[in-house]
Amino acid sequence: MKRKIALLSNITLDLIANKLGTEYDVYFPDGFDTWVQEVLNASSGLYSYGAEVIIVLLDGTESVLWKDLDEAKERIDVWKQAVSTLTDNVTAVPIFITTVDIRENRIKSFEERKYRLELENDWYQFVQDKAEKKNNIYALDLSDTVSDIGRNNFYSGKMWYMSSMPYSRDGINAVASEINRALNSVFSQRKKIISLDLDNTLWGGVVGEDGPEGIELSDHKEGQRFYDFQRQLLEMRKRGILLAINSKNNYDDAEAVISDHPAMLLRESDFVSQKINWENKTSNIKMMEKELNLSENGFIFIDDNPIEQETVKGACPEVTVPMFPKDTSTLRSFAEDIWFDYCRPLKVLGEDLQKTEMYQSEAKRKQEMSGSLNLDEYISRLEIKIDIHRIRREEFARVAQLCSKTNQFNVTTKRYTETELEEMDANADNVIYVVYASDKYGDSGLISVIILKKSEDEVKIDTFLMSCRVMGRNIENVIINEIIANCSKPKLIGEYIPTAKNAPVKELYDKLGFSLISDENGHKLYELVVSSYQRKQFDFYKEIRFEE
Amino acid sequence: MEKEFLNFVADVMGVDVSELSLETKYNEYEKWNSLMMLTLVMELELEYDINIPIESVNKVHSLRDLYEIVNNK
Repeated sequence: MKRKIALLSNITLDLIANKLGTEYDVYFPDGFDTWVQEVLNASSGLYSYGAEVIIVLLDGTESVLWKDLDEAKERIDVWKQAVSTLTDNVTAVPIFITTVDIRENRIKSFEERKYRLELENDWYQFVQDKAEKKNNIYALDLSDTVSDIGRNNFYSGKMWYMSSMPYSRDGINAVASEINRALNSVFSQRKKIISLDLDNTLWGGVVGEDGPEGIELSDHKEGQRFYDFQRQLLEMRKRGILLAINSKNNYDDAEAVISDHPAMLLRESDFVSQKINWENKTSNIKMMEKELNLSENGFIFIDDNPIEQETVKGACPEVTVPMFPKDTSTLRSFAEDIWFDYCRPLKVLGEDLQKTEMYQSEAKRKQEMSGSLNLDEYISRLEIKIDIHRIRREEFARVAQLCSKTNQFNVTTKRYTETELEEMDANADNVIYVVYASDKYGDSGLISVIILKKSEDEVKIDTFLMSCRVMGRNIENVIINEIIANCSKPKLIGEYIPTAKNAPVKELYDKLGFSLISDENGHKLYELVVSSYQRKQFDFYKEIRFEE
Repeated sequence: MEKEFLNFVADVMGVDVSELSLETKYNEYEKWNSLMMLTLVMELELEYDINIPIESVNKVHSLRDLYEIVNNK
């Protein structure tokens, strides 16, 4: 089933809708420039369609006809009112609103005031203000796209006169691609980690031959292209993308550059894993998957060598392998494309900022585990602390993020948005618990969510999910133990809805001591009689806190 | 040349070339509506590296008309 999106615009959108239509079910109002009426009319098709994303695409071509600043402001005020109505009416699905490229009439003397920049800025401020106040609104910077392509190539007078659609072929493609990228940020699984080669990738030349002084890497002139590429990667790392080295070098040669080269921006602490060895790169990826508990489809592999690229593509078909640019002066935009196509999230949360540290401590935990001991001993060595409490205001965004991203440990896989969660929490019959975990190696942050729905004589576990970072530490046992101990009704109901990815929790409720009451094609319901449950002691955790 | 042109048009329209001839008429052939006209003009301009003036587009009634524009570039 195709995802449903709605396009609202003051221009004709058929050609763009056609392009998006290969992947999405696209709704747009009939007739030219009817978007304002559509938004203001509460019974219009827009509201009954059930779009999962709404895009408001505003074009400034008609502004050529606006006779003065007053008229321009009037027109834009109408846009503002319409957008305000839309954002008041629609709070649960993402809405993208474009910036606008104003094309004011140019028949003016040097002395006359131009208003293009003021209007563009005024509109941007309005959109950004909405975006900051509401958690489902995002600005889509279309004027940036116009600048990239250049107006003379982006617009086509012929298209405008023939069809009330002002974009050229290039313009249509660019707009469709920007919209697609925005939709990918909503709907597609984002990549988690970038595996990086060193020689001729993070710097120019081969350190084993040229030596640390001979490689190309500097903060000016030719060597700056690699410095700039590293800067882009660092910006991604700051937004939650993990970086790892996967390179064939002598360890000491590479290490000399990473720790001491004055223009090396990425240092040891920026990488979650450093595979600097002569192993084949595929097995290095497999090792990283294990160490970091990541799956193959979370990887991007960047390497200048086409043979390495092909080998990884063949052996790990789910790894994304972008074609490395032949001209390394384009590395900066190469990085931007990777970010836009595979990594850019809707928002970056506090949790994302510490991701590298979290994964680094996870790798240390794995080492601890490898000195064979039983699980309880391992857990007690980690000195795990668990904190369970009712959701707090500032936690909704993280909970929505976990609902949208968690696939493996997720018994019902219900994708609640931030607004839906807030509405749910406002109802006294529902309780949302969040769980934090930390241990001696670091803080894992908010790692689990449980949503309970009460009815007359039972409590149903509507959602139970946990970040894969902390799977395998039996934290679920602790959580359920506390939930049962604090259950206000005689029965607790568990549900498992199978998906392509959540097999790891297929038998979760069986393991937790629930009894199966029904099973329809794998969709299972369980119950547990609270009075017959023997509360367990988990002494091997350092601290367990539960707060109603 | 003619065959190549028809193949290209069929490709843009997403139809089998056997459905088309130079006598195919704008607005009579179902797939060739005003939206398809725009798409065809854009794609032909790129493919044949030409500019098709709006005056010429307004006079196109059949694929033959388009074919002549392309040939008389």
